[in-house]
Amino acid sequence: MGELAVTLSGLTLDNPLIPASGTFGYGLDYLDFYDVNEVGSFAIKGTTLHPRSGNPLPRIAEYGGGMLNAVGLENPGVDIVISDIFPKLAAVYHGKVLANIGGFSVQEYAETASRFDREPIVGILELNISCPNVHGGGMSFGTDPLLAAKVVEAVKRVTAKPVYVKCTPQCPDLVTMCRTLESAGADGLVLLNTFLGTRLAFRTGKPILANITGGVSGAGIFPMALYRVYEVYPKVHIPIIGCGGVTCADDVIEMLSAGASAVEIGTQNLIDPMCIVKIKRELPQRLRELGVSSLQNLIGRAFH
Amino acid sequence: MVTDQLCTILRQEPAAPDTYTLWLRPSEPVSVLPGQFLNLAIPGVTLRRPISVTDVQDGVLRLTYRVAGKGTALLSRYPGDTIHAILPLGNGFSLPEANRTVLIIGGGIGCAPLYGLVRAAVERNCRVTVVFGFREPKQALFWEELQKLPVRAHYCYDSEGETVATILRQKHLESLPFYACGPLAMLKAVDKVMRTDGWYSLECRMGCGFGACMGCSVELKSGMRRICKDGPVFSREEILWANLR
Repeated sequence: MGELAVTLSGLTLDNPLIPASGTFGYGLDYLDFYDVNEVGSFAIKGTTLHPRSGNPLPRIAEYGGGMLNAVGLENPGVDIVISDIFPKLAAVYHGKVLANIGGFSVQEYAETASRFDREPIVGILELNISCPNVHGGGMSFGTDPLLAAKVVEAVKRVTAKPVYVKCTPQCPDLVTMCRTLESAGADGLVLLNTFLGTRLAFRTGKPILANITGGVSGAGIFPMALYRVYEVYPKVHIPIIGCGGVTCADDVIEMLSAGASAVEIGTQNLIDPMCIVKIKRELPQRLRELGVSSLQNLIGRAFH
Repeated sequence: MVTDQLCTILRQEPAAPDTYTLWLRPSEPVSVLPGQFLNLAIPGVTLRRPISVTDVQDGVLRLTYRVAGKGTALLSRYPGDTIHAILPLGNGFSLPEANRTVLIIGGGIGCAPLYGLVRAAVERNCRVTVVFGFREPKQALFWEELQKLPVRAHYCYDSEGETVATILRQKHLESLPFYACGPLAMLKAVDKVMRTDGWYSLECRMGCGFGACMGCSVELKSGMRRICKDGPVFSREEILWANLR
């Protein structure tokens, strides 16, 4: 294994850098910029059982530390993803993806998961119980540990692939949530999805986003996301993927130090589509400066 | 091929009130079609700003933009010599065939991507009629340049009670194939008047600008379309006006 390699539930990644769901499409939009095999893995656009057209425009707003989005899980549905998109992706990408699954009922999560279960390109199922931009599903699963556990149990029954759960910072007791998810059979955690927020237009005083609220992301949420990883890591025994505001190699090292086994990078891809490649190039030098031979040795360093 | 390029800022100057012209030279030569845009990394704001390309001459890109918020305000005062831009983005206009008659309709800063289209149409020996509308005369763009081209140009101003839709009717232009870019209200007014095939260039708040984030995706007649990558130019029959904001 190379110095940047990490493992997630038996899956070895060449590096810990995973473009976050919703910022990388299905991988194909980055081909102009670089060979997508450079990434450790990536999380596909949140996919649901049925096609979804998402929220009306405007879907994007901005703040000093990053951005807000209210896309609302627009996707063509799991069947089209499998039949039309995965073959195109498999022609250019040789790794495995995290299949990000959204849903509106326990059965829907399980049904979508069972379809992804048959796909060799899927390495990990990433259950999105944390989307702040859809109503009646998404995040409501992510704030109720018992409901979230039901989703995990139902999905585990239909798949042999590792099941990771992407949690929401809107959950009032994240430690209890994560421990409950672990007990329910989750193989890993992704901490975190976006924070709920809004912006108002200067001239009108009205919300910029048609959905009123959006998910807050970008460098401005890094300390909060980092703390949740730090808070949860000692309380669980399953791997954590750190996610939230990571923009550079040092943020990656900090996330790993807090207990993450890998990191997801979201907003920074939109600002700088080459960021993953740049961070990958920076990491070896930073490792040498720390006198560490493998990135894996940094995981949970805050607690050693 | 779309790349993120370090561009040299050759010059920036006011073109009209709150409107600026910026000349950029990308580090690598790049082919940009009329109607395509670039996404500028303006220091001081998080997201890049999508700005249309007015024209390209000898490898130099000319942008014309209006100060609409913090990002463009910072750009208008930007003191640096270089700036990063992802380009070329979007589909651009499908150019008219040679010797055709075409109508090019613009409103306000929506005229910015149309000047390059006018030039391309002229180069193809098209008979070009231009109808550009602005709020008031001092905001007019490209007037002198259009005088030098073999085109019929009509300018109109809200302050004088004339809109592009008025001109289209007065001059009996409703039956010409057309290209249009401008504020949504203007495009809707144009759509009510015109009776032929046409293309609209749309804009909206974008996340990435290159098709990855779905931040500008909207349902059109053929399904969900990303304004940044599947557009910004869409044929008239594609448009679902109610979904555009």
